[in-house]
Amino acid sequence: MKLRINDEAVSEIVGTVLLLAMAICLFSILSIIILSYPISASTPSADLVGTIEGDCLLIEHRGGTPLRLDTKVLLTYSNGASESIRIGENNYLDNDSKDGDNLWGIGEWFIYQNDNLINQTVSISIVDVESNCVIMTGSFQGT
Amino acid sequence: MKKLRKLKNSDEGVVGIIIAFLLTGLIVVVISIIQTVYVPKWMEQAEAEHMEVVADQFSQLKFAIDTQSAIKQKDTPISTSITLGNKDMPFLTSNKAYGSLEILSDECIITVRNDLKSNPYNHNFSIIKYTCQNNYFLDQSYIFEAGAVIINQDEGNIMAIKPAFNVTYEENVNISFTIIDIQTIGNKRSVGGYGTYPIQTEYLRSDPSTITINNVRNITIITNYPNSWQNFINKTLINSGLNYGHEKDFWIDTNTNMGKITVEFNDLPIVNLNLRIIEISAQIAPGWIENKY
Repeated sequence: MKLRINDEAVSEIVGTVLLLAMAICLFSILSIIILSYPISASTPSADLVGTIEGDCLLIEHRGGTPLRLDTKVLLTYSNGASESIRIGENNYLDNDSKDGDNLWGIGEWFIYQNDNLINQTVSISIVDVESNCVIMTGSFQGT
Repeated sequence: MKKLRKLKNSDEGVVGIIIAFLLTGLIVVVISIIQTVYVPKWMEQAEAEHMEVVADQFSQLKFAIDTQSAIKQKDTPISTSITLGNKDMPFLTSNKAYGSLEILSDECIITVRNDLKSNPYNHNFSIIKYTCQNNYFLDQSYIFEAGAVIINQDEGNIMAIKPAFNVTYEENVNISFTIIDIQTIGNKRSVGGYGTYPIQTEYLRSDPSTITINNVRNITIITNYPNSWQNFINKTLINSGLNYGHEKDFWIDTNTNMGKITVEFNDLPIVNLNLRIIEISAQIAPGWIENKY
């Protein structure tokens, strides 16, 4: 009975509990921050060269990481219109590119034909969907 | 014995131990994530940047050799350098990429046949090849072959810088092709490692006159990089106004397994080839061995 009402060393116990609580909170917060941080895929390093010939947009992969077929090509025309294309759609890769690896690799061509390309200045951005990064951007003048 | 029992039953310092465990665990988790997720990404980026540096250095090498071919001045060596590998990360565990630079003999053979039954014109060339063994980024090779710079990866190869191969098509087709033949002296023909090594080139000689072969029927190139040559020659001939096809002006047979492309020309139009061969002496690594030609 005497022991229960004894309040000696209470501050030490409170201090210890607080220290423990702070350590657990810090560990939990940092763990949640680190483990829930979205780890994005690295941006592919690829060299792409593009041109517009007549009504065709031609982009060649000239080395570096092969790109996935869900890579997006965003076109913005000088008249304000815009469109988004995935390179794997509608056989946009040339015949040599259809080697079955499902990637757009070195020496392979993306060919997009559209009458709107004639005599237009087109801004092109190529976006890797996995890393959500722009791989190439440029402005091309149709002839 | 009493003291030991007392020590066993004591719970003093338990909180400190728990906190120490928690903090150590936290540090281990953070370092593990950095090591397994971020280090490979940083290293891949570093290796990709190193390959861009090598591309730039090969452009410089091509520039030096083209300049020497144009001015044809002997005893004027030009030194360019190639960085073979890249560094690893300090404090964290990562692997260095290493590379090799070599001059390889008889790697490329060009054969030209005309409509005469005489022996075909034949010439073997040496190449300069840089190969990188990357750990995170894909492996690439840069090759200087017959005046062209080629990039090679596992999936294929492409001509990064074209050789002096020009076609004019008026009444007849005139092809002019200047081929750079790399010569070596002694054992200064290969180097491997991580550092930056010089490659010294010097104009040696060229044929006194251009070799002219009239009525060319086919040109065969035996190379380890047939796709890049096939694409380049096909595009160059089509851009000059020739039509591709067996029934048309020319066609190209490519045998990737044998590393051989053959450009076949039909009877008409008449194709004349003007070939110039320029010999350039090249030595890798510091120091210089004098030419004894």
